[in-house]
Amino acid sequence: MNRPNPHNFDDATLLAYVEGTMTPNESAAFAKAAGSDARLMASLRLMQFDRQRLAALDEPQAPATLAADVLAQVERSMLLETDLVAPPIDMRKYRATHWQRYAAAAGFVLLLTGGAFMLLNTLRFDSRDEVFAPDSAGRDEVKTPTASEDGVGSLASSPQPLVPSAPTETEREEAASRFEMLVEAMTDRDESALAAAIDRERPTDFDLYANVSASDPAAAYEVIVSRLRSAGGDLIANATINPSPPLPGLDRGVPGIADLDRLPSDRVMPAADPLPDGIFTPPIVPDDRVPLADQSRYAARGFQFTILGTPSDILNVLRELGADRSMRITWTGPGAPGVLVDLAAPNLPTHAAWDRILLWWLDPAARFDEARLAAAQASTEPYVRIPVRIIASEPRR
Amino acid sequence: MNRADQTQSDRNDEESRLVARARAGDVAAMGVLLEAYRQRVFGLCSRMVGHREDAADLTQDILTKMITGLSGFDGRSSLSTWVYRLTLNTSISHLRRRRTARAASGKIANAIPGPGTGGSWPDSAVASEPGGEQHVQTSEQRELLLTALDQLGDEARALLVLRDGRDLDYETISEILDLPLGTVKSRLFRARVALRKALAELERPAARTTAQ
Repeated sequence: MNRPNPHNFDDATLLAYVEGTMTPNESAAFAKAAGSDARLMASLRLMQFDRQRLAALDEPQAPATLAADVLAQVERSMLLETDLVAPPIDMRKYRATHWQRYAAAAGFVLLLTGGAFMLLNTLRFDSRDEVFAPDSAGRDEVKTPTASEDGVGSLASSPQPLVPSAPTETEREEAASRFEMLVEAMTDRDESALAAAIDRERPTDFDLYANVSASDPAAAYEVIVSRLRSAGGDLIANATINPSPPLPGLDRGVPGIADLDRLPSDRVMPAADPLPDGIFTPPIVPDDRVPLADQSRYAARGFQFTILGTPSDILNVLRELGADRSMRITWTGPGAPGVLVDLAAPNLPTHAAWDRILLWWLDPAARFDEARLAAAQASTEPYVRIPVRIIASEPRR
Repeated sequence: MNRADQTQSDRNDEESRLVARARAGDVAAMGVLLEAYRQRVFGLCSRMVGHREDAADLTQDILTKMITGLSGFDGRSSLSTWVYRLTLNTSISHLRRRRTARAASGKIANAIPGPGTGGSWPDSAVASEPGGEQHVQTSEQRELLLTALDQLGDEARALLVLRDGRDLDYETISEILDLPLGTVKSRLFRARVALRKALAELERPAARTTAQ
């Protein structure tokens, strides 16, 4: 390299001259020594000019969405990691481990049974009150394994109304026909539950919410569970049905959505959500909870509730809650995790793709009222159940 | 401590708090950090690799590494030093890969690219920005300067960009490049000489004709 340095100045000295970092004395001494070398001084001045031109170069502007894109990517990986560290409450661990594929069929039977009750109400059987009367012979009969086994067994292949007093043959055929139509409609509209019940070849956690309209819903649920147990034997010995508490303002007395009432407990679920403030949490083994005071050792603190509603209701709720863009939603479909950056965006996946939804809020508590409002505005139609976990980014005091 | 030092100290404290929050998973803090470094990383990247699209891709990678690597950031240097080092390393790796690919595809790896040829900075990357305050450069002058910069070795280009483009002091550059202070000064001066030579060649019409 040709160095413009015939005077053996060191590089640091020449650099200091070019960059103007010499003291006045150093500068004067340098000028005295090198001033007679016009070529060197010209080269150094040109370097000063180059430096100024470099400094004055326009800086290319970064794409505006760059930071947001990166943040979305990072958040996605964080959420996936969070799932590994603190999975949502999985009620399968509180239940028998030997549920196999039979459970799927059992769940389906339960669904059909629920449909039968709806049909029975629709048909206004005269004997309905007797069926669910606490001391009725019919209810006792349903509870008897032998008798109910026959009933459910035939229901699976040839649905029959759940009435103890034998209907006429005409009534039976008519009811069966309507029942099949009803079940078919339910099947079409409740894809999510059916997909969970039928498509998964693994132990499946069923939290079926039967939509039962009866004069005594509690008794109806009991009948359904009894029949289910009778049909499935040991395989479904732990089957439970969660009677959905009616929400005010809903005329059918069936589950609404986004009921966010707190569980009246001073103990919380460990390892997942330390503050399960939600309702509809299926039976939780008390010993598996930890005192609130012990929650500090869990990194993720959050709220848990269940959005229970129709697919369109849930969509509306999620969109309502996300309209202010203060929240991100991650949904996990079967084998296809994804991130919804903007909840209000039209690309919310169909509910058939939902497996789990996480709402990522900075201030969960502040949003509960909004959720209530959205719930109150919901309409009713066949529904699905989506467990939702809200994770607070800051520890809750 | 004078006011400037105090301001810098406050800034460092704030950045340390943000880093701590981001390490704890605070998404908002991550967003602030990303926004703070987005332009700086992109600016350095684009000067190093000379391609807007490549620079954008690299910046995304670097920012992702920055956030995900915060847990490994020991705080011995400032965050900016760490990020600049990450940026340079990533950019230089990219340039090496690009050269290898060019060589493999039969192109002349050491050819001097003329204005507007592949690898030079596209006009769109600079056209929209306001001109420099000290000098109004024509687009041709800018093109020549960028082309000359592109001809330098990676380290020489990095030194000039950090010093003149980002206005960093020698100590910080020394930390970023992991070089002794004296070496930084020496190599920086040599980089200036190399740049002057490249510009002199490019500014001579006869030389340009020869180069083509």
